[in-house]
Amino acid sequence: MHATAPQDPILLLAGLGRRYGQSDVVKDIELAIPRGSFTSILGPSGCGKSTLLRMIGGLTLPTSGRIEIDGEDVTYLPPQKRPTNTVFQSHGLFAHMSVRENVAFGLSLARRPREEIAERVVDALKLVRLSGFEDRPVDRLSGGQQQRVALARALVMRPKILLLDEPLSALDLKLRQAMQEELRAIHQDAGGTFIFVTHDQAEAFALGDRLIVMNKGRIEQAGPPGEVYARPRSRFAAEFVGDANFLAGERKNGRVALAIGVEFDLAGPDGPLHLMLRPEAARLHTTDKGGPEDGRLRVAGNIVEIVDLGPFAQCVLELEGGHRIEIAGIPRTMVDEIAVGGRVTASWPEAAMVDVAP
Amino acid sequence: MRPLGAVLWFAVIATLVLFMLGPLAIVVVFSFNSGALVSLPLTGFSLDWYRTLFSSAEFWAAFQNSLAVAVPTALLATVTGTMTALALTRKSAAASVPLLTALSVPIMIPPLVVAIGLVVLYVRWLSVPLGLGAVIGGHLLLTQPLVALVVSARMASFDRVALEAARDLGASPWQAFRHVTLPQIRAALVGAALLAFAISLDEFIITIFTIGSGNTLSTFVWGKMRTSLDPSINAIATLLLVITIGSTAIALRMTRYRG
Repeated sequence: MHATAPQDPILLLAGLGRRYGQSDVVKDIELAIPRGSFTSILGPSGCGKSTLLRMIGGLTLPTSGRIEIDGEDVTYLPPQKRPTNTVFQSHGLFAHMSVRENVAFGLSLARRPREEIAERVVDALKLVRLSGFEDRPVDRLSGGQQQRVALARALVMRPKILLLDEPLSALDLKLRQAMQEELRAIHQDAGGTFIFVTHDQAEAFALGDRLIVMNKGRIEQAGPPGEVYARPRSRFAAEFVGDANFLAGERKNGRVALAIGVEFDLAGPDGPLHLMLRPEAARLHTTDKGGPEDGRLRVAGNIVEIVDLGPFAQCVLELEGGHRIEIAGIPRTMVDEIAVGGRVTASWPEAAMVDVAP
Repeated sequence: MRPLGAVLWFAVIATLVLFMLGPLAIVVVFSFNSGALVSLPLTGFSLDWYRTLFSSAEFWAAFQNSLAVAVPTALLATVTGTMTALALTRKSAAASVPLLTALSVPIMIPPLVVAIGLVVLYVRWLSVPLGLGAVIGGHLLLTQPLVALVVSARMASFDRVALEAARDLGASPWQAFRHVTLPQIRAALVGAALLAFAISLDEFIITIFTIGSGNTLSTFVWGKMRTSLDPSINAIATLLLVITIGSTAIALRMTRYRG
């Protein structure tokens, strides 16, 4: 499925690329971001996601392609002339200024009236829950507070697009989760379009209503997070957004024979194929008394490993011929019935398997 | 063993300190001594040598020349040295370290060589007349790398993301420099300027080679020493001592430069 252009995109990227010497850090990006959306860009470090964000914000110039914001070509505009603002990973606060001066910086440069600046600074600090910190020097704040000042400093400009470059990655887990919730609330309260870059898939899913998976400078897949998770289009996307089993097989005349020893009907061209199965899509049965259910595949195997996570467990099953699959989300009630070495059956719906490029 | 070692160690240090600071102390003491000879015993406290000095037109001419060289040198070196440092911080360490080292060559080679080279350059190639302007040029060679080093050291701990944030919030490159970079490196700049001032003020070799005619304080002292061992020299030396130690001390405080 190709990402269909939204009705009223705030941001359009066409053939966007950035080349350093001989290497393409970002290549051929085609993307339309809907107005008011919260988009997460997810990818491993070095995949070009930060460079892409910097090009949108004007901090890095592209070597090819075009950037349009709200219908206006901004490809070669300097950062100070773009309707975007950025929250940086290492906040980049002005160390010699107070919280108030930091947040007021952009508005003062824009020569807004004094009363308006004062009012908007107060509002922005309220939004990030830092009211009362106006006169603190920024180096006396905690990491989380500093990142919230950086957020207020960008939000106070009311950018058409707010760019967030891994702003939470320097924070500890608890604080990170709290900040994620705050970010979602701020997006709802303040409105606007947010683009959030992260290498943390849990964060990308927690925050975005749209997900873009990047790899090696290209967009691997874009869509709603649930869709990317359930129907990844590539092996990379499948693995990067979660755990996955990959089942090799061969298709002939619309019938697929998997290497793990099961067969089923699936329309498509003849030849080898790889199917992805999420570990939690499979179910475990200790007694194989269920008849051949419609549309479910069943395989028998020996348990070689059990990881008890508390509410759930996951296990590794060794099938005929030495193939192994992982099964997750095994309910508590069942954990006591299984043991390493025990023989069990696993089943999953045929439709749960997704054809991915190898 | 240990007490003896410690005592010997203390004796060595004390001798060294006496040897190095002794002449300075003698100069200062004799500048306030009434006798015309720099020899013991002291004959009494007097400000006569300072009076002699301050009533000498030659001294004031030299003093004015010294300021006419040291002030422009300090200002120019601070501007060009800072520009150098800012340009270098945009480059990778692999590129900036060799460049900074290359720029520092004038302070590593003997001043005599620099001075001879300068004279040849000025007279033979550039047809620049010797004089105060030529001296300023020579002093820039010595002081600009120092400013560049001090400012580079400051920029190493400067948050470059803050600069990008400023641009992102609507600042032009100049506004970003004025509102973000400058307030954070101001102390280092003032300190570097004072260091440059102190170095220029008592520089001798390049000065005497390139000044042509006229004197700065350092060449004035040298001239006087060749004719008479007049204790008013001690008064000048004491003044120079106070000015250079004072400005260097302020500079070190402001730059926190240790090294």
